[in-house]
Amino acid sequence: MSKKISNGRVGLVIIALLLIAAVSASVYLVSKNQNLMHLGLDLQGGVSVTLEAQPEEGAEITQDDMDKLSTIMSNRVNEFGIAEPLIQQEGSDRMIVELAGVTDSQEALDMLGKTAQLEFLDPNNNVILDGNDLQDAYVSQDQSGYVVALEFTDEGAEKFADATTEFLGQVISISLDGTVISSPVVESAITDGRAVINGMADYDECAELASLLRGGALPVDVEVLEVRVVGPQLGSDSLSQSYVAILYGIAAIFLFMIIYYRLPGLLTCLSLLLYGLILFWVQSLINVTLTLPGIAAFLLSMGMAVDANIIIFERIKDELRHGKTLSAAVTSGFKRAFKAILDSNVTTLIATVVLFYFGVSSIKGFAITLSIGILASMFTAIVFTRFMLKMCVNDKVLSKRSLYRS
Amino acid sequence: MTLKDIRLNIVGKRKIWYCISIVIILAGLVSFFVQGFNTGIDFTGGSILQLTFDNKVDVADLRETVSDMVEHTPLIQESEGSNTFNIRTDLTTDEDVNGLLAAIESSHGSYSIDRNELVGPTIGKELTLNAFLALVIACALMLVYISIRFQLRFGIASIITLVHDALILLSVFTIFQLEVSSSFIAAILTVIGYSINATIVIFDRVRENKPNYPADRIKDLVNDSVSQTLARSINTVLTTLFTLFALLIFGGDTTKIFVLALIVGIGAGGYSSIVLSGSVYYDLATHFKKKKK
Repeated sequence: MSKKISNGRVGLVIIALLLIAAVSASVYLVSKNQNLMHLGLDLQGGVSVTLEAQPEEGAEITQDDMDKLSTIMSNRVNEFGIAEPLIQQEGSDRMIVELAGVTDSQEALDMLGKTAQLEFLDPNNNVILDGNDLQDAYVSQDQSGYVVALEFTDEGAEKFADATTEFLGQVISISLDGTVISSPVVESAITDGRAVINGMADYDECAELASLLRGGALPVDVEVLEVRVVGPQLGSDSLSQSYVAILYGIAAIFLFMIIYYRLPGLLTCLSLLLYGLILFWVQSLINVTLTLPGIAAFLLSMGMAVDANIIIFERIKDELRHGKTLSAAVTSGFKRAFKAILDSNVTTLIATVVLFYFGVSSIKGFAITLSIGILASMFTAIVFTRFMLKMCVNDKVLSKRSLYRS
Repeated sequence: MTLKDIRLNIVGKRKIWYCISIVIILAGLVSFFVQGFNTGIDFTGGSILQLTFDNKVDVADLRETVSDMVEHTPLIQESEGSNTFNIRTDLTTDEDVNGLLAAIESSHGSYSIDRNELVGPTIGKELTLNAFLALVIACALMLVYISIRFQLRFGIASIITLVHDALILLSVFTIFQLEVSSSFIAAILTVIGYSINATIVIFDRVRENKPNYPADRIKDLVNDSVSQTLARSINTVLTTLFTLFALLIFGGDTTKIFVLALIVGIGAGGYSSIVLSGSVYYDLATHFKKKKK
């Protein structure tokens, strides 16, 4: 052991202070910046919608359809003004859209469930142009009241100009998802690539249609399989209560470890702080959404972190009982404990990897948190606890046998 | 006397442990066939509404209003001391639920919606099937790993212990008719992760002690190994339960059932790792040997 850390007391105090400072800083940062911790809907409240793409007859849903669907959903959700929507594909033909903070399920459904296929039809019901030819859509006003103003792409403008020239004085219908919403008579050829849809009841209806059109039409129809609204009150209530409860639980673990294992127990507490920091920052870095199953995974991996420490300390006690010196007991105790910790954790890791590959989203989240937690718990127990324990063993005061309850 | 001095005769009393487990699981099986699971809408499909009314509403009147709109008898619960109602129906489309909400508003006045969930009947079933398949694959791979690092019979004993823990949890939930929702699956996974972890540590000790015991003293080998790891087994269960009980007592209502599932499962996991895993290993080891001869 190098001279530098031979004074274990100073080293331990420095480690403790650094960890407490890091934990406090993290707590402060989280309270200031909500984005550091993504909360799942079950914790935060909001609307979750599960959609299933419906293939046209004889066709199948392709990944390309799903990618387009995802892009358009994300456009629509942005129109909705949701900061961090979660849009994920599940299986080959489903999509889950989670809107945090939204409470009106109907509003969400109107927004997400519509195909929004806009078509301009000539008097013979042939399609002149559709949503793909649209450049922009926005609410405007004319003598009839609020209208949705449309701007076509260059190509669309050309088609529209041709059509309005050809069908001058006749009716061109505008249909949305197969329903005619407006049937204006062409009064003059329109060559500037602009048109309006009128006949809307009020500003809100215009705004909704405009944003739907801006978002683009879905490549396929979708069916709503599931809508869940978790009241935000319910979510945040149970969340803050759960935080407090987990803190009580951790305090009890700390107390128990210190009373039962004495100095090594105190080292476990420091190790657990590091474990918590690693788990939190890695999750935050790779944007893991915290959900209820995630909390379960956190509790399980914390249990495993404590367990690894307990296995080590019990081994050291065994070795001490067999008459070894403290230093020798620590070395061989770690060696013997290592196999048990490795095998038990690797076995669980195998399960989490399988769950991650085969599981649906909520199970995936559980698996990710558990894997990170297991790796963090192994690292802190095998490397960090050992490092601190060696420091203590080399310190005159901290190496007193009574501190180890052998 | 400390825990270290205890020498348990776990294997000798294994018939008792097997009986306890079999009785609980059989009771669970009977309960499953008689009353099934109290499945949430995740599994059955339907809608849950939680409404807080502005004016006082009588639960019987509300039940009448809702019953007129749905096919099966709705489940309506009143939260004590508030004007909040939980309404569970078999409606599976958004239009139907909106129709119900409109009917409720016209008969009972305005309200605020705390919760409005709608689930098609397929989602929960698919989730269960998916989790089940993933678990089967996970068990197969764990079996391979344990067989390589230990021996096949350790692997089989671990998997039996793990399945046992999951069955106990399922039994408790059907017997006491606790609600099974999609988060219940996460609870089962957690319990299985815990169970395998607890068992492997004990088997590690058996593996380590094995060279010191002659082949005809497997019973002592298992008993001593379980006894030597007893302090660790108990302390680990205790520390895990600390947080869970804190969550049960101080946590939010929405997580209560979930936490209860974890407590039952981890209790079962701690119990089975101590008394069952070694016993099953012993039976496998001795049975195996007889066959060889």
